Amino acid sequence: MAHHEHTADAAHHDDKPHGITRWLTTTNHKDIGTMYLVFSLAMFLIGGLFAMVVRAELFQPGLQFVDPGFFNQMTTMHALVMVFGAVMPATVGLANWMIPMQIGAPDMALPRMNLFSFWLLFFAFMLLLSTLFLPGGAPASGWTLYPPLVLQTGNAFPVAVFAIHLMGASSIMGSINVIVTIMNMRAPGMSLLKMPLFSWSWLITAYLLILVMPVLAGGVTMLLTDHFFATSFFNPAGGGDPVLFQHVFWFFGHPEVYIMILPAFGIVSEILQTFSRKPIFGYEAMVYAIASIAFLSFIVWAHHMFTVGMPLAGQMFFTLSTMLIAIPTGVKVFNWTATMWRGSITFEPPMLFAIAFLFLFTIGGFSGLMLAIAPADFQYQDTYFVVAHFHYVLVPGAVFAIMAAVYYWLPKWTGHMYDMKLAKFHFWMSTIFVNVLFFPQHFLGLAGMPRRIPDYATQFADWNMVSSIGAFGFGLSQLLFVYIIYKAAKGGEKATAQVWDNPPGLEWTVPSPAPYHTFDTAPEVK
Amino acid sequence: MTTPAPQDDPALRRRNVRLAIALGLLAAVVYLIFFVVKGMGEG
Repeated sequence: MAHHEHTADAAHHDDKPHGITRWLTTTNHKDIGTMYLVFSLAMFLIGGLFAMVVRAELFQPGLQFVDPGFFNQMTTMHALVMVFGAVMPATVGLANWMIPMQIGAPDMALPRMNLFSFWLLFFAFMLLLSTLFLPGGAPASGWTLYPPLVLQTGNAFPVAVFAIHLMGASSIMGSINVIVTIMNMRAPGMSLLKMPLFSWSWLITAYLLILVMPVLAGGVTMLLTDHFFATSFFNPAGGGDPVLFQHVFWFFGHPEVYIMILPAFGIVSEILQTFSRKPIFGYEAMVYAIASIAFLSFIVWAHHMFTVGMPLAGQMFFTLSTMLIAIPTGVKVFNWTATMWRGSITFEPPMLFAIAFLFLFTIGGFSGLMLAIAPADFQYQDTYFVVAHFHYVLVPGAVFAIMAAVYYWLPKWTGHMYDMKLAKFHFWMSTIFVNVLFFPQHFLGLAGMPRRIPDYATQFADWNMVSSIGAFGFGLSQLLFVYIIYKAAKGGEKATAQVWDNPPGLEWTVPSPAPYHTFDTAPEVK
Repeated sequence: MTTPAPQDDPALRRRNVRLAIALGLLAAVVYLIFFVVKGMGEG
């Protein structure tokens, strides 16, 4: 690690404010990454709490704990908080921490904008959560915000729309930062096709974000003007069409799914090669597969809305375009498996989570293929089968990958090894309960149980009880995760620079914890 | 070779800001296409 030179120009390199000032004013990518990660963990717990309310109410048929209106607020807020507050900021936090270190840059390209992005997100979520205390309560129309239902929201409506705009602005600025950092700040010799796959996955994700967050902003702006300025974008009485909103929303919403999962692909690629002790199989194919998935994500949106009624040609197009995604995804799953093939595999916590990701995300992928078939989707639409599908993609998919990343890079961040036994226990508890929670929801959906209802017919009682037990177990298991991270941040066995057995990537060439300023001297990349 | 931080290298900083503005404009154009053109066309 280079020694810092104390010239007048470079004096700020060694300045590290202490106490609360450090966190309010820092422009250091590691500090901002930490703030994003802590924020997302807090949101994961809050969003999880909302899910516990939902599962407690669904434990038995009938209404036990909350009224239907509040139940709808909980399902809506759970989704908004988990998507925009937990999963996305967690991957942004990982990007902030790891991209500069992986490409040999001293920091993100636009450090002040980086800090601004974080605080925008923070205030957006304070606004969104404050709607729970407004007259009429929080938004209750589902995270899809479909009109005309969403227009019945009380005082929370403009607040939620404003919060979504702020989140979007924050995401766009964060993405601009990632793209500029990768395009302009790579170390000499670090060509694009030498970049680690996590950085690659984020470069593509950042372009996706820039292209679709404004679409969501356009959609909710139109909702706002319909509500307050008597426009009729979505109001048939004035010549509008509520289905237009669904098109606009899902043109954003489907790429949004990939925004959450592509960084997970990058993380899993990094971890599988480290713990298989082999380079990734088919590096370039992996890059092209991520890019293909990103491209295809723009031409599949209407598979979310087969039942609104569309021409047969439209149904066929969106069925087939959706199925095409299975090809690059299959390439990825094949390459991950081939990476492990004949590797010297060890099963540390990051590897356990990555392997669970491989199996369980693929289950979500398969149920996605079932949903892609238009005539079959008419049966599954708006049932718990859909709930099971996207939770398999997002929980043992995106969330497990984020946990794998935390267990992979935590020693690099804190300088301490964490409690491996406890982390493995956390893995097994999470993996068992996540399946107890979500697998029965396939059965409920196939049997016809609709989603977003607080009460249900008695034939659905047994599997709902099982699912709720899984939810409580999964929720409690996450307290272990918090404890493991807290304990490692406070102390523990010192981590070496490499941490693991010869892992690939520049981040492992610097000491653990990574110095406040990395790469004052450009690393050599061959 | 020392890697310059953006704040220490005016040329790098200019390149960074230029690319950031271009990407920001791209986002603004997408917003306008969806809100003004698509929305007004149907509304």
